[in-house]
Amino acid sequence: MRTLDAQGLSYAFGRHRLFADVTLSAAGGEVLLVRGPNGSGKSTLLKILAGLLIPEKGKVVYHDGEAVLDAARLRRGLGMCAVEQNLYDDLTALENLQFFGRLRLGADCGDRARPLLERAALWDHRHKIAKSLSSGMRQKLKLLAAVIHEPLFLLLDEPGSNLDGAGMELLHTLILEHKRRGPVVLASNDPREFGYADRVHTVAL
Amino acid sequence: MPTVFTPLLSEVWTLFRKDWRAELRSKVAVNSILLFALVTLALVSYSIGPYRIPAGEKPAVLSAWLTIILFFTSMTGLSRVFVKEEESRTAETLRLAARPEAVFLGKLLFNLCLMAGVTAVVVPLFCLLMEFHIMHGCSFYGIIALAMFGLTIASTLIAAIISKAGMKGALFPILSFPLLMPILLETSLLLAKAAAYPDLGWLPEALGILTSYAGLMFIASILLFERVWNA
Amino acid sequence: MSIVVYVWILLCLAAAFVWSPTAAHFIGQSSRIVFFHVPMAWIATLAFLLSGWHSLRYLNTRNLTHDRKAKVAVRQGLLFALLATVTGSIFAKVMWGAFWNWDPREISITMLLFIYAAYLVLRSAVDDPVRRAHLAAVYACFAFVAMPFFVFIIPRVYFSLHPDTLLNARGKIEMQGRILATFLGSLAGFTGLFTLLYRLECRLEEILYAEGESA
Repeated sequence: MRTLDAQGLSYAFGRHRLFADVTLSAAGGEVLLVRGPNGSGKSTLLKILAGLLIPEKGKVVYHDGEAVLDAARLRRGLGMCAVEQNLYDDLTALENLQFFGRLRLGADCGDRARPLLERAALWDHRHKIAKSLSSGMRQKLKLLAAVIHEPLFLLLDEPGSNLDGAGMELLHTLILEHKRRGPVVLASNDPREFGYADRVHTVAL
Repeated sequence: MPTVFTPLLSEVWTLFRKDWRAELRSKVAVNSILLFALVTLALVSYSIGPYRIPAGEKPAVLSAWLTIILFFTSMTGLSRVFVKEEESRTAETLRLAARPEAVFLGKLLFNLCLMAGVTAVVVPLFCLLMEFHIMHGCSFYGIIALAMFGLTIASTLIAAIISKAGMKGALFPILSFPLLMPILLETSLLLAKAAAYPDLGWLPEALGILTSYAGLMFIASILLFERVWNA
Repeated sequence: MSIVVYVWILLCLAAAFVWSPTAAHFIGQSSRIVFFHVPMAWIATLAFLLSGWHSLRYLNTRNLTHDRKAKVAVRQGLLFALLATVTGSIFAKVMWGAFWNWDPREISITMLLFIYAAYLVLRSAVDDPVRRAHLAAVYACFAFVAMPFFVFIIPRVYFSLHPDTLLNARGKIEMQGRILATFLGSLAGFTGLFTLLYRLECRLEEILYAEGESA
């Protein structure tokens, strides 16, 4: 069983305290929805879970069965898609995907990019540089980049932003596929995404 | 449990190729660094020219000018590899996907290629325009190569630091200058010797100093980079 | 302790100008500057070492107290480096006819000034306190690695106008009697003064930080 455990997380931006003593967990086979008003710290919480920020207090532990994942294994085993994270504007859609695939998988990356791009209806746009794609297409590409290496843990921050109906379908499919591998933590205030959740954690101001 | 780890060199190469490919498309760093070097070269050539410097002073003066041009040229373009990641908000994406030492080595490799290309253009052009006759050509170019190697290593870590601060453009030369001063001073003196001294007895000690600087800067950068990258 | 240091400094001043004779091979009274200039340069270097140490400690422990101590060391090091540069320039004017001679040791002290100034500029360019501490600590440690080239290698390789009564290839201190006694006394006095100032400013930083926390 793959699990994510966060104990007693506290974080402040300078003198402004975002949250204190947050404890949550997520296990393989479930989607944990993190909800909260704007400014409550949902995105910051996800960054802490991803190891991008160090909390003032508390810790986050990733388990793959009995084993605890260290930083190196987490880099291979974690996928994240967030609003504040961009792709490379000067690379094409295909090059972006291949780049992130090769970083984590090396020679094992193979041709994983093609089937993903086809599913997202981006194969015909694969040679367009990322900055020329529409916002919805870029969002889909970001989702694909987060899952190309088949991560064990998936963190999604407002993944449905700018997505149309087909894009939401793709998101739903990716979440369902990932649930079989490991837990999904989804931070969102979008009602379209509430239906994916198995459990809800509310971050209050 | 994920057991497949990409070898470090493979990661470094992937990162380097990504930067190189992006640069070939936009050509921002290459154009700005090359044009800056040529503009500075032209300014020096117009304002001093090869004939106003007494023959006996030429090796020292021209070596100093060349070192200054190469320093300011590096300040124009070497910070872009990291600044661009922060400004285009790809740094976090990269932090999740690549190990810090691979990021540093990939960016360093890119900067080395950039400086090598610019140096290969600027130095012969400088020697041509300023009538700089070199007695020991191999030693001269070897010293430049080793000096630029050390300079690029130190500048790459400084670039990572300033990419996370404000006032990036002004901050880069401010932070770099004190740390690069040993190599700049040494390079200027050694180039003058390579140009004018009849024997090469000074060369082994000189190469030792340049190599030790580059080596120490490299080790320090590798050890410290992760703290900067995750700051 | 502060009274002891102040009295000691006064005694050193008196010894420097009255009790100690002038040294041979120096113009007029110019040798007396060694009682101030060298201790100031020593303190500037000591402050640099202290800032490097606390920067390293911060990187190991992530305790912001070390970051504040490193900052204080740099600020005070900047002051003493500036004083060492000014006193050195005065000596240079008397001995060699020019305030600045681009001597390797003169270059070393100005590089220390540049490093201190760059460190403080870097701190002012970063808003987030934790990020600021990280970046400043890394820069200080990086500068630490580069400094041996200034302090030890370049002055040894190149000709220097500086008198080498203290640091020389022969490994001997070429001072005797009252001059040596006054010099060592001044060195101790300046070290005591720096210790006082450093501890005072560190306490002030802690108070300011605590007030910021509770505000």
